[in-house]
Parts: sequence; C-alpha cells; structure tokens
Amino acid sequence: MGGLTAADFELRDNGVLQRLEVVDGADVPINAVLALDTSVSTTGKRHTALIAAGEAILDRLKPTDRAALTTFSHAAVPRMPLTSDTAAVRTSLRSMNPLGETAVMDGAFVALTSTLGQPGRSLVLVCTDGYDTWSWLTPDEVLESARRTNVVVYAVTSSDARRDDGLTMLTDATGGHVIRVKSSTELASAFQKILEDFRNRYLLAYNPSGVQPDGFHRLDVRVRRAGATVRARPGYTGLPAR
Amino acid sequence: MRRAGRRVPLLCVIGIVIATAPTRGQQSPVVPESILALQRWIDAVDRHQPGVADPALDAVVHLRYADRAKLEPAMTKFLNFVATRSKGQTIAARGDVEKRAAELVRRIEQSPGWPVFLQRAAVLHADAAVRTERLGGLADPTMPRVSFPAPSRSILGRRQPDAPTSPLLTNTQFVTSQDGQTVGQRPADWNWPFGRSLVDLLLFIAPADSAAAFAGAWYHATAAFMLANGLYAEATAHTDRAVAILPHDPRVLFDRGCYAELLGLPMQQILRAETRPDRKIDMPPREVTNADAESWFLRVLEVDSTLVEARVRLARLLDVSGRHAQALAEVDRALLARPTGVVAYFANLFGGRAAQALGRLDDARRFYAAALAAFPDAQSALLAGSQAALLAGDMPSARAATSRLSDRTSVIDADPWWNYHLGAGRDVDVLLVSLWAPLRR
Repeated sequence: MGGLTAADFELRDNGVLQRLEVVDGADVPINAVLALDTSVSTTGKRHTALIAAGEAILDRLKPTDRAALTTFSHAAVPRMPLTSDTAAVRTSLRSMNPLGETAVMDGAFVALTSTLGQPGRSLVLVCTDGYDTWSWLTPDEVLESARRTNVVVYAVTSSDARRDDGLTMLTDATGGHVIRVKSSTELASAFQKILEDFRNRYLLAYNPSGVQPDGFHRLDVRVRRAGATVRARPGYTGLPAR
Repeated sequence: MRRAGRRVPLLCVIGIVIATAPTRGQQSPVVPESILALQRWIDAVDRHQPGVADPALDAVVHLRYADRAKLEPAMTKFLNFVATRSKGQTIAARGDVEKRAAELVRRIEQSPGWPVFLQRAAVLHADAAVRTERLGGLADPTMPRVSFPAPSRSILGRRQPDAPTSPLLTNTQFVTSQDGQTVGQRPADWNWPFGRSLVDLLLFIAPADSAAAFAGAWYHATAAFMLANGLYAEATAHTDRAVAILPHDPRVLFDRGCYAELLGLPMQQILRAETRPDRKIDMPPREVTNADAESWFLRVLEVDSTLVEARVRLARLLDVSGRHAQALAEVDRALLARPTGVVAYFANLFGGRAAQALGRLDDARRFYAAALAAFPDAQSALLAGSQAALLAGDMPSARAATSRLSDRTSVIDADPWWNYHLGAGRDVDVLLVSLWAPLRR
C-alpha cells in the first residue's frame, strides 16, 4: 500500500503510544547480506541455481546499495563484507563450493554481525535446504541476538516446515518471513521478491519515550486504513547502557 | 594397513535396523567342506599381522555370505569345543569330520593357546571390518534378499530384532544418512558381531583380569573406529554389549555415554523428521538420549572420577537441560584437574555457555577467551564470544570475532567442537595401534 504518512500509523512500544516519523524507504540505501547454504546437500542443480539467484539480487541493487556474502556449511565464512562493488560479490558467489554439513543458525548469526554498526537498512537473506545439522549457536541464541539489531531476516528454503522452526522464529522476530520453494528453479524469483518487499517497506522512526530503555520492547504497529495488513517486527531488545 | 582415520563422516550409518534375514532354524551338519573352510580361517588368524593389510586379512574381507554359510557349522562346533575344553571337559566328537575339528582345537590349545588365539581372531575381524569400510563396502551377490518391514526398529538397540543363530550369518540392513537426510541402505558388517562373539568366548575361558583388559581395549578401539566413521548403527549393539560384559571399565562406559550423547545432537535428531515410510526412523527425542548419556557419564565418574572428559560432557548435558548452575559447578571441578587440549577447550566452551545462561556475561566472555587462547581459529568459541559481546552491547567486539572466520577457520581440525561427536574416535589411530602392539609378531 503506497502513499501512507505518519498520521496513518500508530505504534506502541510496550503499550506506550509513540510519536512517529515516516522515512521514505526509497531514499535509504540497502545492505543486502546473502547468507547461502553451501553444504554438500546443495550440490548440483541447487548450487547452480543458488549462484544465479544471488546474481539476480545483485542485478537489482541500486548504486548506493551494498551487498555482502556469507556462506555456511559446517563452517560459516563471511566471504565478502558489505560493499558497493557488486562485481566483487559476484566473483565471490561464483567461487562457492558445496562441502560438508549444514550450520544454518551459525551462518545466519555471522550474516547478522556483518551489519552491526553499518549505516543504512539491513536485510539478511538466508537460503538453505533447511536441515540444520551442525550449528553451535541455538535458534534461541541467534534470536536473542537478532532482537538487538535492526536487521530484517528473510529465508528461502526448500524444506518442509517441521525442519526449520529456528528459521521461522528468526524471520518472524525480525519482521521478515520464510518463502518455501518446491524447486531450485524458483530461487531467483524468490530472491527478487524479497528484495522488492524489503525496498517497499515503510520505515518508522521514533525516539522511545515513556519506556525503560533496556529489556525487551514489544511493538504493536497498526495502520489507520481499512484493508491494510501490517507485517512488522514484533519487538526488540534494548541494549544495556555502556 | 592404512591409517584408520578420523574424519567428519559425510555418510553416516545410523542406528536403524530396517530388516533382517530369517534366522537359521536348525544347525546344519558339519561336512568336510565346512572343516576346510574352518582350516582356512584358522590359517588366516595364525598368519594375520595385526594392523597390516596382508593376504590373510584379504581372505577374511572377501568371505561372501555363501562362504560363511559353509563355514558356519564347523565354526559353531569348533567354538563349542573350545568352550568345553577350557572347562577341562572332554570333547564329544562324533564322526571323522567332528574329530578333525576337535584336533584343530587341541592343536591351538598347545600353541598359541586359546586366549592368544581368540585375541588374534578378534583383532583379525576388527581389522577386516576396518578394511571393508576403507574399501567402501563390498558387493555380495550371495547375500539373501531381505524384506523391509515398517516402521523401523529402535535406535538404542534394546528393541532390535533377534540376532541370527550365528553372527557369521548376519544379514541386516541399516539406513544411511548424509547431511541430515536419509539417503539409502547398506548391509551391516558381519565382522563386528562375529568379533564380539569371539571376545565373549575369551571372557568365558580366560582368567578374568587379562581377558577383561584385552576386551576393554578391543571394545574401546573398535567403538572409537565406529564413532570416527559414522557407523552409528554398528555402534548400537557394540556399545551395549561392551557395557554388559565390562560394567566396571570406564573406557567402555564412556563410549556408551558418547554414543547416547551424539544421538541427541542436531545431526542425528534432525532425522526424526524423516517422513518416507521405508526410511522412517524411531529415533528417541533429545531429552531421552541426553538422559541416557548423562546416566552413563555419571557411572563413568563413579568408577573413575579422574576421567575429566566425562565430567565435561556431563556439564554440557546439564546445561542443555537447563541446569546451568550445576553445569558450571561441574566445569569448575573439571578445570581444577587442569585438563589440556580439546578437553580444556570443551570445558571452557561449555562453561561459557552455562555462565551466559546465568546472566554472567563477563564470566562467559572470560571462558570463551580461554577457549580461544588454546584454539584461536575455533569457530564455536568465536561465535560464542561474538554472541556474548553482542548481548553485552559490545558491537565492535561482536563484529570483530566473526570477521576472523575464513577458509582457515573452516579446516575441520580448527574447531574441536566439530569433532566432539567423535568421542574416543578422535584418538582412533592411537587406540588401534595400542590394540595391535601386544599381538604383533
């Protein structure tokens, strides 16, 4: 839904109504962090399709946007830090090799940390066949970390729902969602859809007032327009004073 | 023989019996052909140099099901005779063929003696299983086809189907998995149950202390091989049998605990979600396998309180089940023993997680720093340290820790956590050499 202003939104932080500003999302550069599964189960067509999907998202970034690449198998590796040099990210994408087991949560966490302290709005796109066999970090630990960042996590997975509870929790908690694909040929369109969805989001800015800064903040966002459905992060954890 | 090897198993043989062949109803008569097969087996035991891929080993490795069916009647008689003679009783051999078997028993009694012979035989079959694994398994067109009943049986071995009359005629199919997905089936290796039957006989006939010392070393080394190579289905019956016959040996108790613990790790638990009927797995939930593992590690510590790794593993299980303060206390006790290497790493890693769960972020970060001091490229400690920093609001440190991850930190030995599921399998080469050494000629 386009054309909304601050007056159309209502946001409560821990039940306290906040004064909002709406920032035009189109003006804010995007940090698109790809977190891609390169475990042995992605060998073959899946791997080729994964590279093509990654390139499809790079093709649609604006010059002011930046991209980064994290891969995960048994090991999570930040292959390319955030950069506007998409050619370098493309080269890195093409050098990926399927190997080893799958550490989805570890990979998602490494991707999250690559956005810490970075300007712009950050999107982490996790793509996996969904069977986390190897992570050190638990879904709860990654979730708790994500709540302390501004990142929105999306996931594309070919698995059935029972095997990726962790990813579903993570995307829900950050305001993203999971797209399930039936075939690796659907990866590129899923990636593009995610970028489009993210770019078209409204950014609501406010200085929390009337609430304690630390601890978990439950957010309740509503739109004062008939027929609107809101998808937003359900909350965040305030950082302790340092 | 080549290095037995420890590696991250790409292909795991998970502990599911999905089918077994019908058992033999009645014992077949011992015929001359069977005695000849027995003679060839005894020759192989005599000639095999432990740990060496020699012709004697090859002869055993390439025994097909049909060959073993011929061998089985004479072998059964032979082993019964050994048991009889060891108790000072007279062998009742009927007919020329049985008399020939009795003659072989008397010859071995004189040299090298039954205990040594049975030890060599048990090692020969362990070596044969290792060799077969290294060869990637061997096709056997003589193996009877089996049907696949569903659902599959329990992984923990207590509800496995009845064993065949003779372990020589093992004909069991196991499910295999790779990267969290079941990918097929493969036959069980008959060398393992047959080797176990030889160790059973050794414990029956030989003085308790010496036989138990060998049996403990044999089970520990072979269980290590199974864990190092992802042979979890084989390890089910193997570790169960070990603790049944050696209930006071901390090594086999530890292996049994490690086996139960690995079933609770994500790499195995994910298999519970399998939905295909022919590969559906009756894997107990993590709470059950972890409780089982915890009981075994407690038993280890009752028998030998100095086995620090058992205490560290116990601490992890306590933490996983939400008993963070108890976990931290066990870690502290473990560190008082000043462990080194990977055991110290695990202690610090698990101590950090328990401290973090208790809200003691500064302590957690100190634990993780200690772990990293020993293994600077370990991903688990880098991630743990990064997460603790992030929770503490120290974003630069959180980011700096994960930015150290690279291809160098992806090497499988960079992170001890990646080899945690191996248990004693980390030391399989050393353990096998120790098993072979006393029997080398």
